[in-house]
Amino acid sequence: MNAQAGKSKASVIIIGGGIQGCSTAYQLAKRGIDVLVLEKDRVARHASGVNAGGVRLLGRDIAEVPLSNVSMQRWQTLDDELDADTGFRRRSLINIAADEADIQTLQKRQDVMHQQCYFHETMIDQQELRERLPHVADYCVGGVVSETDGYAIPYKSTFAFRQAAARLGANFVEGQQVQQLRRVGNSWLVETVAGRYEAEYLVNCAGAWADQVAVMMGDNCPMTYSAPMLMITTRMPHFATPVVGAVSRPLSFKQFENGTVLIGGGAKGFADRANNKTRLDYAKLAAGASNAVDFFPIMRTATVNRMWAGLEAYMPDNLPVISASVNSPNAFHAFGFSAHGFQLGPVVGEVMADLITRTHSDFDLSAFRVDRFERKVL
Amino acid sequence: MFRYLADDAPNKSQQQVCIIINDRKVTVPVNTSVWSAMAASGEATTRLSSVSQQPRSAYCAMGACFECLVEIDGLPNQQACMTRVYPGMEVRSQTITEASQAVPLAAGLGYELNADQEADHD
Repeated sequence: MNAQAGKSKASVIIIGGGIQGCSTAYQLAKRGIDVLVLEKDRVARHASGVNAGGVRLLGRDIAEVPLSNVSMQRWQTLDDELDADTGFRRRSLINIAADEADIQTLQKRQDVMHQQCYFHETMIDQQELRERLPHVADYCVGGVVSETDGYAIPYKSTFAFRQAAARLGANFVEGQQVQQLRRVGNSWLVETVAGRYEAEYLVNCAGAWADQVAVMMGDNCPMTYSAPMLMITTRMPHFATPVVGAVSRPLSFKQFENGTVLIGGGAKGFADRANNKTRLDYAKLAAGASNAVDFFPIMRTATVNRMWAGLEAYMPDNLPVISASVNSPNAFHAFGFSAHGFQLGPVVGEVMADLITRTHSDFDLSAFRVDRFERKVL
Repeated sequence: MFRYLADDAPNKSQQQVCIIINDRKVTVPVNTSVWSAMAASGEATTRLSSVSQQPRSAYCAMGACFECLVEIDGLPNQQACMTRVYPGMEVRSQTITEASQAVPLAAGLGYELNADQEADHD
């Protein structure tokens, strides 16, 4: 839909058409709110379209667990709710312990989790590890599993939210980058190269560009961006049903139903935000590949077919910003998910809709304040 | 069906190497491509299509089409038409399909494909 066909006025304007923006649009539209999404490129063009698709509750920062928990419940029935195919598969996620030190790390984590009454992470011994992952290297001693976890196909999930939102009346304008935000009376005036838009509320879901939008709202925060890299193999014989990670090594992969294996692990390439571009760091990709071979000898026979990277926003504490603006009225943020925001998509939309329509969320969002890095006045 | 043109020449003193194709020892001219060796030995099927499971062989035979992928010394996805034979090379037609299951070998460092390849898939 282009600017001419779209409305120039809405109750809420969401800046950024990634999974957080589309999910927020869906939740608002569901509540009968007139919502417009402004996307500078195309919906799901960046991190939301090209990430590893991990739907992971395992190993979350304690502050994120309540949100992640609810989101995980949503994922189990999301296809039905959105009447679309998100590609979600519940496969369980296993983080492998390579040695006794890893077991100690897991034991400590388990103690903390149990103290907080979280019981979704279960430690497994070597025998069970081998039963669940028959191809794991002999030296691996155990691990931890979360049964509800799995993967989804990121662009399909993001589009599922977009289409569901559109069916409920949300408008999407693509190819228009926000250039200026201004308060005019009780409204926000949003200016792009091609148009002017007016809204009562603003939501900043601008991903790797969210710090720029935040500054236009008056909020400064130390967000950075980077280009985490992924590679996918040609089809291999099926050897791993669960999604696989490691306790202390940058290992992450999943084998899809067609036999291809997606290898992540968080190694970063070079990010050129100004030009929407990323460049790969092949030495780091090679290190990631040999990591996979160390844990799964069968990966020696893997053929890497494609490699890519996406632009992602990071916060210094690797926790997202999910917050009302501090310096502007009727403005909200949801960004900086630091390479693990995809799973949170379903719940973040609910939280943002609550912040706008009910002025508060039932979740404790204090860890995600936009001003949490601001220095005290001396 | 396939034969070497050199076989028609009166001088047949060309050097030969011994390789193994699908568990069978064959002798082929030195420097020939794996695909030529397979074709001349009556093993023209290089792989099964991973989706339809139909037999495939070289289409372009010059490295562009990737139809002739085979397993060489345990590594799959090697282009038969672009690889030269060497003595003792073990070549195997590639049978990785969407239904393939890898069965780990007891020794740990390898796998074999489950014999039950008919396995159901949509």
